[in-house]
Amino acid sequence: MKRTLTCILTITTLLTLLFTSCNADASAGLFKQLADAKKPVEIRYRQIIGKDGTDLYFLTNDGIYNYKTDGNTTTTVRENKKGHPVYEAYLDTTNDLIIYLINGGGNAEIHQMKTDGSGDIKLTTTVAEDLDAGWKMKQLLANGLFVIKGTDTVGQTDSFLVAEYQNGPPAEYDKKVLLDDLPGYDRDAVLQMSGRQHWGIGGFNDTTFNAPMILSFVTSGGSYEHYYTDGAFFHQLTSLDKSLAGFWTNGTSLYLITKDGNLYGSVVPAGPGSTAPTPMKDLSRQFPSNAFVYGMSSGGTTHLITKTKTANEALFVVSFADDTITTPVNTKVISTGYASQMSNVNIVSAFEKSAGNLLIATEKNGMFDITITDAATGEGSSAGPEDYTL
Amino acid sequence: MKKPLTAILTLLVLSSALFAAAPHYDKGSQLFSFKVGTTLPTFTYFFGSKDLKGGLGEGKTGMQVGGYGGISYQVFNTPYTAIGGEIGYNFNFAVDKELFTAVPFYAKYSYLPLQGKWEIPISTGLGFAYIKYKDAQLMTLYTNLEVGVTWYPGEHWGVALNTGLWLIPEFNYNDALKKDNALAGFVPITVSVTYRQ
Repeated sequence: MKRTLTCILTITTLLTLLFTSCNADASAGLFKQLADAKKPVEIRYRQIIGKDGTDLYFLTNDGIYNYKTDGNTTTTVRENKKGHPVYEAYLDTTNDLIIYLINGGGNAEIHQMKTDGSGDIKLTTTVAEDLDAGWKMKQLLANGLFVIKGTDTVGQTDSFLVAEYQNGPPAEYDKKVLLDDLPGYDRDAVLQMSGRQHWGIGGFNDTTFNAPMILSFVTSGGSYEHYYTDGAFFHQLTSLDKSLAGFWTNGTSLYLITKDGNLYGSVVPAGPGSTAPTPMKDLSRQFPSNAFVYGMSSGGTTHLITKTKTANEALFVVSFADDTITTPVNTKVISTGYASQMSNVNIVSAFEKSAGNLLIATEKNGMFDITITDAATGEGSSAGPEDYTL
Repeated sequence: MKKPLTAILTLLVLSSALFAAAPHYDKGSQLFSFKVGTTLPTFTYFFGSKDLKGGLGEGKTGMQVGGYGGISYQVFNTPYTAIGGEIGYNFNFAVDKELFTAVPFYAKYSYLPLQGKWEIPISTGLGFAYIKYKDAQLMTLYTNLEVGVTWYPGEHWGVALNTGLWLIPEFNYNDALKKDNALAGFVPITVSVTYRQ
């Protein structure tokens, strides 16, 4: 009897230790996650497409919508059709058009319509500059550019074209930059600056509203290559065989954060070539794909405001001296002020209204309007969900 | 709060004294129970921050009213006390519509001061619970105190209404999670069908 009891106690203790250790994978304590849980908002955001005057356009799981701030009304621009949801969209404020990408039976289809939803047409051109026929549309970016994969005109497979659409005649995807001959590589991510995805392609300029991008590629074996582009050239970022989560630049320095939480720094590439970014710090956090990384500078210190995978940490701020790529690098969790509603949310898109003023769209918890007064301390405000202005 | 508690305890002691002389059960008698009902998340106390979150919903425990089902078996070791065990399944939806689940399995000790057509079982349990919510899951300790009123219209089958308090602690070994160590309390309200022999 005593032996049986001892056996039962030993087994249950071992089971307890086994399962308790499982919780090591959790992002926060179980009851803490529960206590911090938020009621979901019925809107499932995917992307803040852009602003046209007093109108905000956004993409949700149900389709494309227009919120008119002057009349406080929301109207459907394009409702999702079964099996053909809109994945990505671009707002062309010059021509009052919305370009969007849907799944058309296994292939990406590009459509164009007026901002009121009328005049919807499918873009049917088969011409992509410097690529042979048979190319595959991979992505429509919020800045209106397309990422296309194919074989270039000299037969190099796995080439990637960043292009813009020209109505023509003839209608075609015109080359901005071509990255040719990446055999065995496929797209891992196209990274744009948080809050500034809708800015035009170019070297960083907050007067003309241009921002660069980083294209990351990966092999089936897990080898990564990363290329910085301002739309005029590609510049390889070497010695960085990791998946990138996000980046930030002020036009002088470039800061990169990997999904496994390492911060790297570099000068901004001035032309084609290659650079090996300098490791700055292991941030001891995990980051999601296309993570929120928003930079601000004050008093000689640059602050990268980030959202990690640790659900109940609101925002995670990484600070270092302006334009340095050396230590010290300090980190701090901010959960008050501008970050007060950012715990247990999944940021899917951000839109910078002006420096430090952002709309933050979340997957399940609605849209927030935040004002960052002091990135380091949390000073600022947060309104919402679903209580925002332009 | 103190007065009703004193009244209940007095009643139990009196009923115990009244009916102690006529036990229905012998040593070796058995009870089989099937239980279903609801659970009310009552509080969560965080040891690190000393923060007490009470009640249902957002900004409190984060949980909604849930459900529980369980089976138990007990055997009398004296005419008034029984030992045994219970295993059950509990769920509560969180405010974010994710599911919190708990599978308690525990040893149970019951005292039945009032026996016969009407019974008042008072039970305490100690054991383990496997709990899960989103990316967190662990096996942890579990304890409870329950009281019920059982009515036996016949010799063997009875129905009961039960309530009490469950306590589920969360102790994390991971340094990063230790600050979230907590104790959660639930109030179950259940009906059960019991077969006695």
